[in-house]
Amino acid sequence: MTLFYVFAGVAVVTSLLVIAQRNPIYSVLLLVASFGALSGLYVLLDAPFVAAIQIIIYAGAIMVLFLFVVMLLNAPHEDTEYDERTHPLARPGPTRAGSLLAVALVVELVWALTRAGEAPSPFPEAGLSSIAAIGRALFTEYAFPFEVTSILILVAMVGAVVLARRDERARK
Amino acid sequence: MACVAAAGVAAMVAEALRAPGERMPIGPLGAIGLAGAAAASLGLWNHNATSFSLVVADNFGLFITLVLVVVGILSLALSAPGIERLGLPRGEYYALMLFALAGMMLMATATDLLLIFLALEVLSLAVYVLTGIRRDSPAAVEGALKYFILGAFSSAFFLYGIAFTYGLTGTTRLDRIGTLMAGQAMSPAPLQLVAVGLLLVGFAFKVSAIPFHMWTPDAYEGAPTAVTAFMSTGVKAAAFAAFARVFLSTFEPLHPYWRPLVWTIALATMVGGAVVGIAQTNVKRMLAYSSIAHAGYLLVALVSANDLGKGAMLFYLLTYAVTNLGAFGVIALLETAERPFDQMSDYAGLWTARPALAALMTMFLLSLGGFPPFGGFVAKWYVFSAAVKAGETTLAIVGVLTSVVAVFFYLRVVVMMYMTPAGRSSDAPAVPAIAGAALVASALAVLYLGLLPARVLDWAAASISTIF
Repeated sequence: MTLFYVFAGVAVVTSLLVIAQRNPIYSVLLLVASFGALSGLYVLLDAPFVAAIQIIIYAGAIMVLFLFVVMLLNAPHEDTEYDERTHPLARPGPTRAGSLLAVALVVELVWALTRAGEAPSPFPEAGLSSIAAIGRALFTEYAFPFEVTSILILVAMVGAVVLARRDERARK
Repeated sequence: MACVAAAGVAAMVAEALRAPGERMPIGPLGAIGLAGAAAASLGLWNHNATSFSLVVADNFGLFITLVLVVVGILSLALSAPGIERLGLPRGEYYALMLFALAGMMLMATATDLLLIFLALEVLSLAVYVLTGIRRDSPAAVEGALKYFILGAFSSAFFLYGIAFTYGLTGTTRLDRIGTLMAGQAMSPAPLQLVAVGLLLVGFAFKVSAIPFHMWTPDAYEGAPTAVTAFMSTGVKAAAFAAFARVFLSTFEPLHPYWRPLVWTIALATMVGGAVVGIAQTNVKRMLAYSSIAHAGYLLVALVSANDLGKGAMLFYLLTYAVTNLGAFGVIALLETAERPFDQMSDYAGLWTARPALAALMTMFLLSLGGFPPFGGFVAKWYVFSAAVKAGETTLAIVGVLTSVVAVFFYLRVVVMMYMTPAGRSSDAPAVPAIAGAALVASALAVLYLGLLPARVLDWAAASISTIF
């Protein structure tokens, strides 16, 4: 239980800090920390596979992508064109859209949590998702799709090389 | 034994071309791989082999595979002049095209939603790159970017649909899902209907049905014309194969729910494709809208899913493939780096400058329009008579009317070629022998399908009856 409060506290605090930062790079790094805390929560929920995926995909791949974009755009500071003291819902552009989405999410969550347990879930009960079981399924039942994934990645690599390569004719 | 061969149908093409970097005669190598796939498909005919219980080589899948082999060989043959004139990277181009073909074949034979998704991604990624392979052309980049972003969205929809289905049924195997669906056909779970809808969006995007067609004209216009020929036929054939397999067998029990949706999409696609096509002055864009309209006719065959309609759909796919490849092939042979040869006015007086190409183009366009004695006429006739037989008279009438509308813009090109004095089309480059042979072969196929369709029709009907 202590562990839960530690992870939950870190997740909440870092998430709040993400939106409080002026420098987008700090925001991205704090988001990584938040994702790390979330994956700790997944471990506590007996979902080690989801935790690992959370680290590898979100904290690893996607956040690196975010960092790249932030650095490519070369935006160390956010430009604020609006008055800081106005209400978030009254500000123009993306802030208002984000606030609206946040409100919608809160409403949705409240609705879902108050109704939880009322109706049985339409999804059948799933077995424990241990990493070993997933690995076994991947290399027995789903071995062929797994191999197809390798072709997919090969295609992606060839494609990336074709599109990103320096033009030979231009160099001459 | 049978397992290995069945997996080989899909994988062989990819295996044959594992060294994309090498500068060797890759085109013929690809043709050999495709010939191998064809031989394997013919050998597996009627065997109904499965492998890993995820891939099945039933006659339906094999028929589509053979159509794809035809598409592949013709596209490879038509690509050579374009690669040279546009300065495209040869090895990568052929490798991507063959990977895309392998993905398409896998999609046509897969019996697992997960595998269908993977195959879809293999072919889509390859085609996205092929669309944007001319990096120096703004139109190509625009088309590829639109195609990629919208395609990624539709893939997400598709995956979402798979996830819902898996959550509800606990499996991604089509046969098991089908059994469960049959059990709850009277009162399906609401979420299952959501899942079917999401899958429908994914498929409709890939076959460029309205309202999921936005990318089509831009991608078709921007891509090198040989690639356009390839993707307008191959992607459509593979997507329709999986579409038919999933919706006509697995989700068959739910057809009262999805049928009105597909009906509406078919109607919108036929009307939209034909009407917007009239306004085009760019021949490649015009053919893009014509291919949208043809997707609509194929959807009509899917809606009127009686025995006649199912056979008609396969026959239509084959006819459409050879005809459209031919039409785009003519453009591909006239295309140069300086001059894309895609404006309507470029075709003025083609008859005096290049009579053979003009004659072939006329044939392909008339077949697309559905004139006898070409294949397009027979294909349309069977689709519409299937629709009438299934009681979908509205669809059949709209189909005939839109065909008449479409004839207008096909004939405009023909009139341009024969009756307008030459502009400056005399500088068109020479036609390589292989590409010319491919065009003549597809022209002969169009004629054969138009004059003696009975054998192929029987074949199509027999092959589709193996799965439904």
